[in-house]
Amino acid sequence: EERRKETDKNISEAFEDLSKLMVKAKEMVELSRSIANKIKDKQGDITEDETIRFKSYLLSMGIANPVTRETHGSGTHYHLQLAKQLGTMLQAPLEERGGMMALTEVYCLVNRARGMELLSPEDLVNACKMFELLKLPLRLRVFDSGVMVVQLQSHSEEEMIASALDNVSDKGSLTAEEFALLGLSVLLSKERLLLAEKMGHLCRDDSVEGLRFYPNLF
Amino acid sequence: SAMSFEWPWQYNFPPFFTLQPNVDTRQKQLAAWCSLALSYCRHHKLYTLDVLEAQESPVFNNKKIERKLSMEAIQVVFEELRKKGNLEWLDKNKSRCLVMWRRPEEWGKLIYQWVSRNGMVNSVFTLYELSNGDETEGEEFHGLEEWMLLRSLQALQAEGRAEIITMDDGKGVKFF
Repeated sequence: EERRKETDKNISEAFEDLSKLMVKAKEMVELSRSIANKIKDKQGDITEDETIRFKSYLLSMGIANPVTRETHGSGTHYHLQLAKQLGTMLQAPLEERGGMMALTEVYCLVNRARGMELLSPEDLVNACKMFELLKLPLRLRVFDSGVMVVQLQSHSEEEMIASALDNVSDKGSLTAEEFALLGLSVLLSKERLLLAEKMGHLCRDDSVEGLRFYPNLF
Repeated sequence: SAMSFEWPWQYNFPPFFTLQPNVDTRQKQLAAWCSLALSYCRHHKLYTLDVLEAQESPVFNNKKIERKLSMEAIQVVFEELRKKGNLEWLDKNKSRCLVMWRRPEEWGKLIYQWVSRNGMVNSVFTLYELSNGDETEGEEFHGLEEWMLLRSLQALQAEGRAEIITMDDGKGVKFF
């Protein structure tokens, strides 16, 4: 009985503190909005370094302010550092997987390896967007379907299409699932087949049996 | 004719029955569909088509490979045929259409060739005689439906090689 009372007290104290904390956070959000507006109004008056610092503040608060953030400097120091780290860490796994990984797969790989201080999906995407800026040999690529992948820069499109066409020709026709048995994820298999179709090398047979791809004989 | 119809290679290629999303591929696919639909109608001497019936006909339904063209795709093929001048809708709902595997001018030319070959320029024919008479038996335009015959003669009339005249029991034509 005594212990339960103690626990109850602790919980209600915690929630009281939480709501006080929220009030403080709200003040911070309002403050950062007005600063963001000032940055917008006074372009040029504020140095690049200052906006970057401001961005790190926003980031630590968990506030996204894409319009002003994207217009003043492209990202944050944090994301740049993260991008460098990803660059070294992903090289080997990418090579193992034929040069391309879906972003969701990268996300699992990175967070499983970290264990602590996990990445949020936004941080990962934002860091991947820095690859190009940092001239790393990796690229973030968005397919027409909206699927995002990380690929090695050396990974050539022609090779990818040619290998899809070779495999389809070998078997006569393939579904994305069958293509995946050759060592890719189903998601990436499908993107490759769609890419080869877009380039006119493959055509599709869409029936109750599923979506199959054939060499384009037309 | 008793001769069996020869299907193009595409007919046994499953992707032929799925409308292709790639623009270039689709163009080639549609061209093949138009040519198949026209040669099929020509072989079976079909002049009118019902869209619903068409879907069940062997042209658009290959039972051997278990593929049939969807209603939507059939409409796309028909619309393509219409643009090429080989098809005309008979109703607003686009459920029935005329198929012209030969356009009226081409029929007119065939008829006129027959007339001049047989030295019958300046003669008068009834429309029935032309399409169903003993003399035209064996000609390709034998059995031509009246609407099509009339259009072919109108095409000749426009070229000044025929005149359509009204007779007691219907229409006739005089060739020049």
